[in-house]
Amino acid sequence: MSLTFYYPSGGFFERVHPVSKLICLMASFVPPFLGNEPLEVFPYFSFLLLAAFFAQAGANLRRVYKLMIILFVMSIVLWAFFYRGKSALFTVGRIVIMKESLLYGVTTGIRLNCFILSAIIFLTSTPIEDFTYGLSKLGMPFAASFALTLSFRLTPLFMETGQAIVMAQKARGLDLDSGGIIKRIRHYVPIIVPVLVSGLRRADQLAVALESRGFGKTKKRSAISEFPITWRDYVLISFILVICFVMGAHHFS
Amino acid sequence: MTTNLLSLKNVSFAYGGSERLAINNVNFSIAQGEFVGIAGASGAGKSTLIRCASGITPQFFKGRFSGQVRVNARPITGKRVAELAGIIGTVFQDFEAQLFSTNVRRELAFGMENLCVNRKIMHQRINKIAQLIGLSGLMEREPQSLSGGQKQRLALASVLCLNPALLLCDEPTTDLDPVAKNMLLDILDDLAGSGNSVGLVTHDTERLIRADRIVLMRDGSIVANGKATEILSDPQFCIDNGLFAPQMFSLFSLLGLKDRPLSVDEAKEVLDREGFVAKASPSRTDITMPSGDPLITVEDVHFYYTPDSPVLNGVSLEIEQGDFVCLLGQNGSGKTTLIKTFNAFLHPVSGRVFFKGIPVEKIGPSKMGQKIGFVFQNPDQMLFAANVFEEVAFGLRNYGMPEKEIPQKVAAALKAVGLNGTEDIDPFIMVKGDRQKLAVACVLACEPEVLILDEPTTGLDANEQVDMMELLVNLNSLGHTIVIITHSVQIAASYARRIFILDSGKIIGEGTTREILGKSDLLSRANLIAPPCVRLGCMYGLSVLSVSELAEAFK
Amino acid sequence: MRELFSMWQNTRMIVLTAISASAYVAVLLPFKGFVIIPGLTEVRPGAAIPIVLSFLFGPAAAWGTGFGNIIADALGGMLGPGSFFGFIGNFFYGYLPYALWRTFMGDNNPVQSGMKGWLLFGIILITSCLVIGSIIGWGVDLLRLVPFGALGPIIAVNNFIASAAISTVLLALLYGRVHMWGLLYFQILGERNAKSMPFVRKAARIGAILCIAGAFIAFIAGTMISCKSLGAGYGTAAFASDAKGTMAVAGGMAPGLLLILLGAILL
Repeated sequence: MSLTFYYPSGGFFERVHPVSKLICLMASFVPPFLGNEPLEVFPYFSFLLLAAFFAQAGANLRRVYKLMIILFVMSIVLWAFFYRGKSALFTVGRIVIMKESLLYGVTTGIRLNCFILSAIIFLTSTPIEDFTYGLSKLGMPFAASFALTLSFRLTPLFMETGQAIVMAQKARGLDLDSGGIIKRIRHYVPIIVPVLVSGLRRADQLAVALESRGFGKTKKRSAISEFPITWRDYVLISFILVICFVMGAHHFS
Repeated sequence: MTTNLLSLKNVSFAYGGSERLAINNVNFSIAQGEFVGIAGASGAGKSTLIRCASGITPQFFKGRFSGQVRVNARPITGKRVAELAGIIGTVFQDFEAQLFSTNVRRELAFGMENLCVNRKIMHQRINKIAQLIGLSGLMEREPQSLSGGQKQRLALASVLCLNPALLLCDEPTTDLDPVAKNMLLDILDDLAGSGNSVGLVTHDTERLIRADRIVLMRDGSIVANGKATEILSDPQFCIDNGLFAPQMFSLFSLLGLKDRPLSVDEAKEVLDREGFVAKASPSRTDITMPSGDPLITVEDVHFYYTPDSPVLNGVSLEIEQGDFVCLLGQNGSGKTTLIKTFNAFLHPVSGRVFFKGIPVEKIGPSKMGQKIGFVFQNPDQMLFAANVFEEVAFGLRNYGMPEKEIPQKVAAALKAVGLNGTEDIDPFIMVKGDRQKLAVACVLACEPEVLILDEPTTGLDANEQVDMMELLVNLNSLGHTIVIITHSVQIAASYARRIFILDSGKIIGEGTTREILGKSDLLSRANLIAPPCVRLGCMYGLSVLSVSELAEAFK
Repeated sequence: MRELFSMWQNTRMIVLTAISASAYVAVLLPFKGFVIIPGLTEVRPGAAIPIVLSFLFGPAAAWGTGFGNIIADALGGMLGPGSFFGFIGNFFYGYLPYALWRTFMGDNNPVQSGMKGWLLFGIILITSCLVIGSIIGWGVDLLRLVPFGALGPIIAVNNFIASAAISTVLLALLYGRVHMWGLLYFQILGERNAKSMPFVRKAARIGAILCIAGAFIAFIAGTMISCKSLGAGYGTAAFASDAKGTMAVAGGMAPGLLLILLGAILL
């Protein structure tokens, strides 16, 4: 199984320009704030859900649905304590649950899930390089966006190494699940040290290999990928703008 | 011969604040279209030579540098490594540290993007190079999903996309299996044939002999320079320089022949011409099999991560107490997965694994450590402690050994691997061979009955390999059961008593070492490459394990 | 803080940024450590990594920790408005330890610097954990997604437990070795001449004090304001409703956060 969510489908979202996609991702975070009642944000949530299936993100949704449920429940529980309401709905033991608190918790829970859906649509349709390409077009310097790309590339490698190290240390009798809180954290020292060391042993090698490939020779670079701006970009951006406008008009009126 | 593409004149270099010269007054050159092999023991200065030739020292690794390096008659000293990209291409051992992108096409483009190459030319070169290196079908794959051989070829291809006139390779084949090694060597050979200049560092003499010229290094100096047939002709000289002598050279030396054949076929031709006849298989008194009880029993084990790509496909085997067993197979044949079921690290999807008749999952991975000791391929994946003593004591403490007994146990384990007296040393300053031995000591200290080692000889030079394997033979004679995993038929032939051949998650052959090595079809089915002496023996219908056995057959 | 930008000229530092980010994620995500409430309160050993990386790789650890948080969000499908604050919070978490240490202790080894060193190390741990809790907690409270009173203290305390438990052990095992390999940030970036100038050093000391003070001010203000509204939710009915409580958190914490920002610039 791939660690990332990207699924090459050649579909609508994948062929949107990375910069447009990043802008739309950020813009898609706005509508959830333009509703204070569950029913005001729920339509947007349903819309995103449909869009997610349209983007062939179904398999990825299966990976995160538990998280979505946890966030939803957590939101209701937390805001029941932290949001001041005025009309008591019912009591659980000594705690009075307010109607407003509950509604706010539900609204926020839906909001959080909207963010997840937006992110999943984005991540399903965007390879890492496109993501960092978009960031660099939005003003992130190349060295930094490259470092981010390289981090994405190295992460699965480090995770593999981590798993191998866990096995090697368990074979030496390390029991990760024993002891109290401090002791349990300390059990990870024999794992963290080799993870970092194996990374460090590669540091010089990576830097040398990078420079051998001309990294940093000139300020200017060319790019293999072309991202033409097509009707898809206009459609997607206008779509989101319309949603923002409609929900905004409703919210502020 | 045409002019020298690369020339080093009186080059010396010492790293950082070190007094010791890593290379000392070296003169070295590579001509246009020449394929030069660079060999020598660990620490002889081979890598430093490559680094100096490619401008990596003193630009990147600082230190005291003197002498002159010229490429295409122009001095490169003072130029940044990035500025030399497109003139000098370098490929290193660790393929993971040479890949930066999340798919193959982007990886190939990366260097050209840095050099601001026009997009149309990029596509042309990518297609051409991908074809040449055999990556055409993999263009959209993630590097992470490629095999080691494919990753290393990708690293090579992405360097070649910059059109370097000079290609320098620092042990690029070390972490590859035999088939991938040969494939990479063929490519380098072809590149040299088509006008590129290639410099290749390797310990692997059997493959090195294909080079046009060989340079032998020792203690930072070049001690020999010439054709393989001249330089490697004396087996003792090879051993002195940390190399295994090419087997055909050793054979001919033992037979008192002047020729030094570069291939098994050539050897056969010469032997026939000289009238050598092999006597019927000499009666060998092989070490008798241990008639021990079954220690590890594997019954019809199946394993997969996803059902459509099974890793183990019904493996059954039995390992007897006191045996020296080798699991032989290509990378990806399921060897490492198989041994992980021995310790209950992985649970078979179906089938069972027993240790002395008890199902291993009942004992559990942590407890199994006292029964089966694991030494993984890379010692860096287990070493962490501040000094050698703490490192070895770690396992003992985990198993609740009383503190006052620990020093004695540690000392005993260190003595067994020949590292006595190193208790206070930082494991990370040890050389790879010693770190590997320390890893064995760590496992040994817990007094397991079985020792399992994954590729124990990878990345070691000839002397270190022999040291490591002799250590295992010694432990075996003291009663430890030894299981090694390797793709080196040579190691199996020299040390194993019993061999299991794995291919695509199945055991396709099992028997005594001699039985197995007589079946060349079996080895080739598993994509394994038998050592030259075994192959030559097969041509005469003999089942031999070593050069000396073969030489005897001809006497 | 100039090195935060000048380091991008150096290939080794760029690589170390990526290594820091990947190592952080690779330890943080799979190893759950001690789980109190699944998904919400877990003391993860990975939380100690940025502190360790900071002492080793300086600015590369700061960026690496921030990037690591983006990657963790992207791998978890949580790339949302909170990720922005996650980036900033983690960036400071990886930036402050080395920056505070070097202000008072220069290039001294963090685990062999006597009583004064241990004291400073303790202050650095507390400050860094308060800062990451404050920034992320403030951000999500500002967006009215999660109350500060719940998230801020959880982040701060969890990170503190993990770092206090292992950061010194890890540094003891790693600092000398990384020094030997020449990969400590000041070895790579060379001597910091600017730091020897008296007024720069004085400014850095003021910055350090501002950061430490700001961390406490912001965190205490946020917790008090947020939990006062918590009291209101209990038992009795009815206080003023709507979102005033959250805006109060945002506003009340602003001075402390500004002090941290100002201090960080001077460091």
